[in-house]
Amino acid sequence: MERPAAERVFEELAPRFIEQNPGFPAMVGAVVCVDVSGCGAWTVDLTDRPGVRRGLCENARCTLRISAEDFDSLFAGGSIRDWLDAFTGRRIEFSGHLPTAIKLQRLFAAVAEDPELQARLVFPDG
Amino acid sequence: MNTGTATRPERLRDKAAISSHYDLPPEFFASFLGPRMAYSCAYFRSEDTPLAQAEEDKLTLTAEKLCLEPGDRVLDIGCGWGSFIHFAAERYGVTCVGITLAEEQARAVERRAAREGTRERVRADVVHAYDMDYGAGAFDKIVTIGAIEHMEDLGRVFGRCSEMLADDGLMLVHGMTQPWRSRRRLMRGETDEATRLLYEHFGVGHWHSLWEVVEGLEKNGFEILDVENISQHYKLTVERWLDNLLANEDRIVGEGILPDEKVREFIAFFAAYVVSFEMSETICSQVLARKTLEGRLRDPYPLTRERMMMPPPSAEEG
Repeated sequence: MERPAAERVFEELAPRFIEQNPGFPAMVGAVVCVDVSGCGAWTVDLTDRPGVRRGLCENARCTLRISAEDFDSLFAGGSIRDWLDAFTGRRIEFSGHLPTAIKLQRLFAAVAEDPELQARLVFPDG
Repeated sequence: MNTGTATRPERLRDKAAISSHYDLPPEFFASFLGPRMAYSCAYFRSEDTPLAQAEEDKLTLTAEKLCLEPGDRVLDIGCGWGSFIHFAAERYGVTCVGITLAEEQARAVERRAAREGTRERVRADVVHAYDMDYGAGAFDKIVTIGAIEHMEDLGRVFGRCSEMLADDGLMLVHGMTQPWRSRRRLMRGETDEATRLLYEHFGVGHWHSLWEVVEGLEKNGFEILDVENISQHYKLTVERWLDNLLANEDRIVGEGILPDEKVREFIAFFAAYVVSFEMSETICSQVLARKTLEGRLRDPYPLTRERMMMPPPSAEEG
């Protein structure tokens, strides 16, 4: 059985993207937490000590909550409209500073568009 | 170049786009805008300036750049709820006409003018920018704030402005543009999902590049006096709107002012706008221009920039 997309994104692809794009954390300059229900929670540190670790933290600028199913489908080629529909339909919830989370979405988009990283990702439907 | 009035399809398309957004209940906009109901970039003398003060400062700066004097006749293209024309009439003793395509906004302007006893000096007409025709030299000053994003053909609008402006008249164009690289992609017909969504949800669909604004003015009888990039001010403005909207979200939905889904849409777009200004994907500028009188003697524009600048906050203001 394949690992859920969220697990692969936060434990393999995002750390690798951050390592390969050292300018990205500085652009965000904040800690963001993502709670993927039914899968796990991660703290994405996009400050001067960047990294991704399991679990939530208290100093997050923004915390996103999403189901594993939605995360999988949005990450597997979700358009901006799909992300927007999920947000307006309250399938993505948040607390804190939402613009910071939008920057994290840029990370998701960059990871999703990177052919090298993409090749390492096996989505549920393929 | 098309210099004629708006065609029926243009009128219908633009009216539908504008109405879909600006005819939403005024109570909704009041829930996140400042007290002046200025639905455009405010001007922050410091990062901590409250929105209400920043709104006042933007209106003052705009009026000063236009060198407003008592008795001036002012046209505001895309006047919204009349934040600038009410302010200008009240503080500078000018006479103002605002145009908008949103009937609800025009009614709101008229109601407020009646309430404030300024009906003789403040009026709003429901007119397409391509159709405005108030006669040659009808105005001393023209301003358009946050409306060029709704204008497909800037030259067509600026050409009319040039005709309606008195000799030596000033025009200030305040609006959002996009960097040339993304504008060029759009011009090549490359699709852009974010732009399509913005048009669908906000009725704004024309993201020009700054040079097109300058070109439109220069080719239609204007001389550029000043360009100020105020993108950072817009980022701060939208952050304040977002905070206000989140604070009022439950009430807006609970009182049935707007459905939850629509409010969330605004929240998402505001958050995206903040990032877009931070990343220079969207740029906001004020462009000040003067009607050209080539080869004729004229009054000089002030030598120094005092009236184009906002002083930093005093010690008392923080």
